[in-house]
Amino acid sequence: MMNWLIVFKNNFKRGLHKKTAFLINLLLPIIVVMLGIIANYANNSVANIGVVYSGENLKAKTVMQALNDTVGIEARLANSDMINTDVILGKYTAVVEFMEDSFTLSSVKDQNTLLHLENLIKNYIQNPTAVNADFLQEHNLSIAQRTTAFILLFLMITATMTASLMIKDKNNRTFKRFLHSPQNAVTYLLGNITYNFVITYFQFFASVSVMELLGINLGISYLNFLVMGIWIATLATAFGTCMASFFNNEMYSNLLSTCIVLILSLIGGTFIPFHKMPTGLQYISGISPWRWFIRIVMSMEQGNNWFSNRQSLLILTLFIVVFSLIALSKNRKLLRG
Amino acid sequence: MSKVLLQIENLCKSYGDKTVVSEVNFNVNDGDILGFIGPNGAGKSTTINIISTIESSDNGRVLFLGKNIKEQEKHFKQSLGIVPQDLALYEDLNAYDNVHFFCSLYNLKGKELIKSVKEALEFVGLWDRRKEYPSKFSGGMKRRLNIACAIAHHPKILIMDEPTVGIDPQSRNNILETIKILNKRGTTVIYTSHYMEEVEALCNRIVLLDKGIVIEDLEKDVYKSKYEELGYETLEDIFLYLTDTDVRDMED
Amino acid sequence: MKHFGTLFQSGLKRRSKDFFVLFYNVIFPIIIIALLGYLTSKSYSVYFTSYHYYTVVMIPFCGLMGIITVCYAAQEEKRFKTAYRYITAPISKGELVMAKFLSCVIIFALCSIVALSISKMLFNMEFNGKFLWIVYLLVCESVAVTGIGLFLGLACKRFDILQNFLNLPIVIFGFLGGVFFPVNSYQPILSTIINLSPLTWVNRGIVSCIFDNNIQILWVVSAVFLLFGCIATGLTIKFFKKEAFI
Repeated sequence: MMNWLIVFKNNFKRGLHKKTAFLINLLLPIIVVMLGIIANYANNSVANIGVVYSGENLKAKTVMQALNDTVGIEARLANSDMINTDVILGKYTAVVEFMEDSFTLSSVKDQNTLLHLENLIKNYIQNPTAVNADFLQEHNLSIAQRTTAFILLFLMITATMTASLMIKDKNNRTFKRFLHSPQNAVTYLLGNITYNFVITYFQFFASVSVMELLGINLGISYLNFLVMGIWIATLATAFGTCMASFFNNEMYSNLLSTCIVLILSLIGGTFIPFHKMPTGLQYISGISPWRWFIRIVMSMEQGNNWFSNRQSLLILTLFIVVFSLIALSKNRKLLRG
Repeated sequence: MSKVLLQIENLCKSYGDKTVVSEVNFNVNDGDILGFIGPNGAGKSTTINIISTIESSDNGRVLFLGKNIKEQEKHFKQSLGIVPQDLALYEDLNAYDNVHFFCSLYNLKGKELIKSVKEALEFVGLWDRRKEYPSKFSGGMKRRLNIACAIAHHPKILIMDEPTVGIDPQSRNNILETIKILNKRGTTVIYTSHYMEEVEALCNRIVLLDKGIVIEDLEKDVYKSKYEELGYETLEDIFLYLTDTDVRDMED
Repeated sequence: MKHFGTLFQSGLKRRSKDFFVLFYNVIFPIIIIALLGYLTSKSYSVYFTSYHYYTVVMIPFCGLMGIITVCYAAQEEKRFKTAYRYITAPISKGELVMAKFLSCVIIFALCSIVALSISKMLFNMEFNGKFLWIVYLLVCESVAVTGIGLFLGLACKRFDILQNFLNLPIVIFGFLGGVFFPVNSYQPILSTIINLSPLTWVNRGIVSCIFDNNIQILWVVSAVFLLFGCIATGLTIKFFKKEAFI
């Protein structure tokens, strides 16, 4: 009954053959979590407005001061030679260029935002008392949401790499030797899947625990994270096993899984929050596990636990089942013996 | 008269419209070193795959001690050892761990398992190199490790698929001596090789397969005397006489 | 250099038929541009759309991802077990490396140019007469990418460890360079980290060239790429490891 443990232990031994790579692989998610946190700071909700003027333009200075007094806005002197570059690459939300009697606004933002900004500047020219500038606030993902999304992205890719051990075994014929023994393919698959799950969960656990030890407040409780990690690890393992079942080549399996994971994470709201997506894509995003993880995290940020959002939980469990069934069906010939 | 361990009865296998194995019948007696020979594409590998339950036949059956192997698969596999033609070793495990892992799949545990692994490695002369990895081994050493993985669990029947391919005469001689010792200890061997002089020296019986059909199944002294009269002295001459000298382009 | 021609032609044929090279450098960027462009279309203006933004940032990013494909191309003979024939033939390692280098540069550069051209057509991207400059930058990027990829694949002893982690630094560079969403910060440490990404400078170079008529950054970035590529290729030839090849 416990013969899958032999496979499980054996995979560990094989992993430890390259200790450095094994350790790096286990601890890399910590960097990913840090990245999620940095992403949140870099994609902050303060709008930077560039100001360009020449000479002693009192109007410009007044408006610049008023903008700095406005909550959620920071105004800075901009380089007049690089206006378009700065607005396109996000250094500034917009650049206001003051001439003698007028101003021009350069921005790549949508028409609505531009209109509001134009009116704000006009107001400040007349009356430099700071007003509300909510229209410029970028309501992005929270730290917990972004971290969860990033870590899921990373773990789905690494779980596929771990599952590629099975491809390696098929190619070096040790899998065939395994089948010559009284063990069956179920034992082999179970051992590999368990190994993949344990490694993936440990990666998640390590990264979340380091954040907890460093005192970084991710917005939801440590326990909730640990419970969420079970679903993340299970989903990643099922997906990785599914990908590895399709190919006889490790490189193709890894590259394709990266491709699929990236697309699913994009449409699931990893980089662009759900409410900012076009309506059509909001419907399509339902096919992405990220959508449902972020939804549960949003619920947990309001003080609920992991099991509170039953609908999302059910859908995530369904994803796990679907990936597992696909993997099983690709391996059915082996499993039948 | 030695008892019959394996009975291969009316085995048939086709892939699409290509018949690979057709009504193959032969027995493997306890204590035999059976030479299972044939040209490329004769159906040897397919037959071996069916015997080792990797593939299933379209018709026919394989009996182990009188019982169909399909009805006692686990028990049969417990008694079976396979030395594949292509090396099947984990490059990321050392020699000891390779043998240990594969032996543990045969339900050996604890002290018995450790003892069996040690015996197998000592038997093939790799005990002193047990902590090294296969990538550091020569071709002959890898072949010996390949054999150790197959014999550690003391199989009753050992199938060896071209175990001496690509190694030097010393290593080859060592392997052949190993096989003789194993046989003396009670292991029945089914030996496949394209080196006829090996088969002639080692095997007490030959089964010659060609185009999916058994065309000869004789004890050594019987086939020797039968074909000597026709002027064919060596097994290679007999082989070429029975299967003709045309080059076979079929896949194995 | 008698055999260079044969090796070069063979490499060119192989790369041009490699599904993953074509997929990852032409089709995948277009898909991601379309996806991200659509995702963020609400947040951009009519004159400079989200598709324009992602055309600018995504193609160089996918070009950089080519390092992974070049590494595998460098190890190709090892995978097909034909490396021994190359080593025993009267081919110098310079010929071997240069043939791989040039064939990869040409194909990867072509793929980037094709992706750029398709994006131009599909998303009505205006280059304000600077299309050839951008092509020049992408060619220089291909040189750097190929040089680094070959070095990792042929001269690096521990490629077997590296290959599992090659994805990550490239994705980090991409993220810092604003490939997934515009990234900027005035916080000194964060600002320094962002400037460490080569893609930050590539994107600045492209955008300033097209939209601010300033080719200075583009020139510098191209020169750095060319330098990097040449140095990496030179080091590859010098430190070429037969054991990595076989």
